Amino acid sequence: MNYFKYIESIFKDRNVEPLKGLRVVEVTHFVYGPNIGRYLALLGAEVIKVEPPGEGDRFRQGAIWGRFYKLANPYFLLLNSNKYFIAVDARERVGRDIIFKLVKKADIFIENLRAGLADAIGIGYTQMSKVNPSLIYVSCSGYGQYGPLSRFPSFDVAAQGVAGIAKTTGWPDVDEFYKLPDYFGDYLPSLIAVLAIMAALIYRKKTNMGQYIDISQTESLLRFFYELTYYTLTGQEIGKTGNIDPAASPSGIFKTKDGRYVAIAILSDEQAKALAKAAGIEELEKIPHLKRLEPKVIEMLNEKVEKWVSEKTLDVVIEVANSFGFPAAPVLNDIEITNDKWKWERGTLEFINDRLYGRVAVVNFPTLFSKILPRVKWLGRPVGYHNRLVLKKFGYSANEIEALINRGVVGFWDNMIGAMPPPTWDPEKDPVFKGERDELDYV
Amino acid sequence: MSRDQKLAELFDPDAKPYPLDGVKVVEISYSNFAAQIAASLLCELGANVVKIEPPGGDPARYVTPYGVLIENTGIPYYIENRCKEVIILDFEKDREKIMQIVSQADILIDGLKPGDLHRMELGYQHIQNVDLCIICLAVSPFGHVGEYAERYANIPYSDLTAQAYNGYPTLIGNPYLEDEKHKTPLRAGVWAATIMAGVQAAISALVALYWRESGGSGQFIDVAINEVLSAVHLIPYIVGLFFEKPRGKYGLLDYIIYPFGYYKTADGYVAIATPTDADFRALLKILGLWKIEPDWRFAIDRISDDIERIRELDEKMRHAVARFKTRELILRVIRRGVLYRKIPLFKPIERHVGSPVIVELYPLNKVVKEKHWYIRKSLHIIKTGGKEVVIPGSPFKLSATRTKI
Repeated sequence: MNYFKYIESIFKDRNVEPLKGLRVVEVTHFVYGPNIGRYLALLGAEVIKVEPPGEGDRFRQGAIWGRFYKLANPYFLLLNSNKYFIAVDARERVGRDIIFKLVKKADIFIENLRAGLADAIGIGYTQMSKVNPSLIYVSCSGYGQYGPLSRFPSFDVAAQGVAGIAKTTGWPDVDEFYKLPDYFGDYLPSLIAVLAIMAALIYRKKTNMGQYIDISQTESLLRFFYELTYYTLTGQEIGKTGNIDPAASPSGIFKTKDGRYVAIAILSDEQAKALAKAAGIEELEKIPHLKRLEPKVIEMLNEKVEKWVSEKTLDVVIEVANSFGFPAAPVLNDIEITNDKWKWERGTLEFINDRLYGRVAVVNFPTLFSKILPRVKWLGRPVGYHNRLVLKKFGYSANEIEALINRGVVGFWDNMIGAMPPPTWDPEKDPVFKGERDELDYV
Repeated sequence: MSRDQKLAELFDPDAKPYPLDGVKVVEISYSNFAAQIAASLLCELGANVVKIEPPGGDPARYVTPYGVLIENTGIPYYIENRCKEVIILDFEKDREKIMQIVSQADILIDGLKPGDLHRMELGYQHIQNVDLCIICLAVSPFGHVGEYAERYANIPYSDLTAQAYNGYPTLIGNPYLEDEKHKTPLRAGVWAATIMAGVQAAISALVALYWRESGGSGQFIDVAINEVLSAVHLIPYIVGLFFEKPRGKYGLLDYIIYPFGYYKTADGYVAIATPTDADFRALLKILGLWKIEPDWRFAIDRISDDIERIRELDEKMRHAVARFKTRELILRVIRRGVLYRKIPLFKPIERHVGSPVIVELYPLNKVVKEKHWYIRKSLHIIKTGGKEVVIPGSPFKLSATRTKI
C-alpha cells in the first residue's frame, strides 16, 4: 500500500478528548496566559476564566485595527474559545473566597498577573497547595517569580528586548531594529507553559502530586538564542543580517520573474548539490559546507541564486525545488495563507456554528492526531456570561448566586464593545446564560 | 525569609526526580531542527532520548552561524543534542537493530522526509507489528497526511522557508522605507518557525502520552512546520478572514497597541509598549508630548490599516524618544511611579494613572552579564577549549521535579 494512502486511512477515526475531566481555572489577561488555557480547552479540559466584572480582560478591546464583529473582538473570541467565563470582584473578600473555592477544586491553575499579586489576594501557591496538594499551579511572568529582575516591567516587546533577541532582526544598512510580529514573545512562553503542564500532568499520574510551575517570557526566548553562545565563543555579535540566515548558504528571499518572492536556504552539501544541478551554479558543488558558510561566500552565492530566480517564475522555482530536493517556499501574505487549500484540508482552518456568533471560520490546534481530535466548540463569551452555570457547578444554590449578583460581587459586562453580547441576543431565550444548560449540550 | 528566598528554595532542583522519568524516546531525523528541538525538550524534561543518525552523521551537525563550531559540532546542534544519546547506524544494514530499539520506545520522532522510514520498512505500519502502543510523531514541512503532503514530500525543511510559508517575513520591517531593497519581505533573526513547530510537536507527543497512560492507546501524530507558527499566532488568519487586504510591514506600528516596538534613544535603543490608553497618556507626559494628546487619545486613533494616517504620530514619537538617553527615560518612568505611590489618594487608582513599559534593548554583553539568569539557572557557563562559553539552561521551572541539562 502506498505510504500516503495508508497514513490517510488511519486518520479516519478521530474523536478522543485527552484532557476531558480536567478542570482548569485561569486568572489571565492579554495573550500569554489566555493562550495556555486555550490549548488545554481545545484538548477537552474544562477551562474557567475569571475576569473582573465590567470591562473584563483588557484585551477584549484589543481588536485588530479596531474592527469588531457583532460587538465582540474576533481575536479575543478565538483566543478564548471553549472557555467558561465568570466575573468576580477580587477586591471584596467574598469575591476572593469564590476564586479560592474554584482553585481548590481545580486540577490546574494559571495566572499571568504581576509577580506576587496572586499571593496578595490569597490565592498564591503556598496558600493553595495546602488545601489542594495535587494542584498544578502555573505562574506566568516576564522574568520569573524570583530573582533580581522579577519585578521588572514586561510585555512581549520588552521581553524580546531584555533577552537580546530584539537585536537580531533588521537590515544591516538601516539603523533600526524590528520586533518579531504577532506577539512571538507571548506565544512562545505560553507554549512552553503548556509543555510544562503536560509533563507535570504525566508526573502527577504516577505520584498524585501537583507542583508550582514558574514560566518566564525572557527565559523561553533565551532557550533558543543560539547567537548568545556564538557571541561568547567568538567575541563577535552576529547582529542584523537582513535576509541571510548565517547558518545556511546560500540563503535569502529573492524576487522571481513574475514579481513574487521566494525563500531559499541551503543547509547541507546534499541540498547544495541539488540546487547546483537545478540552477547550474557550479561553485555550490565545489565549495564544501563550512567554507560555504563564510560571510563573503554566502553573499557571492546569493548573487548567483538571485540571478537564477529572477529568470524563473515562482511556480517553476517551487517545482524545481521539489524535484531536485532543496528547501524553497513562496513568501505568503495574510490573505494567501488563509486561502491556502492545504490548511483547510488538514482542518487547521474550519467553519463552525457558534450558538452566539453564528457560522464563523476558526483556527484549530495545529497538529493532526490519528486518535485525538482537538477542536473549537464555541467562541469567547461576554464578561460573566457563565456566572450562574459555573457557580451552580461549584455547589452554590440559586438564592446564593442571586445574592452574590445583587451585592455586585459577581458581575456582568459593562455596555462597552468587546465586553458585551451580540446585539440580537436575548437573555430570556438563553438557557446557558441562565445556568440551566451547558455549552456542551449544544456541540 | 523573603518571598524571593522562599521561592528560590522551593525551586531548588537538588535530589528531585525528572517529570518524564522512564519515558523512552527515539529520534530519527535528518537535517531537521524542528524534530531535534521536540526531542530535545522531552529530554530536558527527563525522557531518555536516543538519536539515530546514518553513517557520516546528520548534516544538522554543521548547520551553524558562519560555520562556527563548538566541540566539533555546530552551535544549534550542540545545544539541541546535549542530553541525548547519539548513535550511528546504517538504515539498511542495521534495520533490525533499529527496529529493536524503536520497539522499546514510547515515542518515535520521525524527522525524515515523509515516506522515507516506510521505504526502509521502519514506518508506522511496520512498527505496529511489533509495538502496538507506540506514539509516532512525524515532523515535516508539509506533513504526512493528504494530497499536498505527498506532492511536496521532497522539499526539505529550513527555517527561512518555513517562515516564508507562514507569512512572517511580509510583516517585518519599516513600511515607510520605500526603496526596492527594503520593501522586500524580511526574515526574523531567530529561527521563529522552527522553534514554534518544535515546541508544538513536543506538546503533541506529551498529550498523546498522557492519554495513553490514562488508558488510551498509541497513535500517529503529524506536525507540519509550514503551518504551526501562523496557526499558533492566530492573527494572520483573523486578518485573512475579516479584511480584504493583507497587512504589510508594520515596523514600529502595530495593529492593536501603539506604541509597541523599538525606538532609538540618544545613546541606544528601548522597547516601548503602552497596553492601555492610560499608559499612553503617561508616556506622553514623560516624553513632553502632552499637547498632541487630543489627536491620539484612544487606542483606535493610534492604529490603522492606512499607514499614512499615522505616519505623523510615528514620526513625532521617534523624534521625541531620540532626545532622551536610555537611562534618563527609564528613570522618568520610575520617578513617576514613585511619585504617584507616595500620594495616598492615588494608590487605589494607580491603574488609571498608567505607566508605559520601557526597557532597554540589552546588548549581548549585558545579557550574558545579567546575574538573574544564573541565579535561576536559565543560562550556564561551560568551559570548552580554554574559554568560558554561555549556553542556555532550561526554561522549565517546576518545583517538585528537575530538568536534565
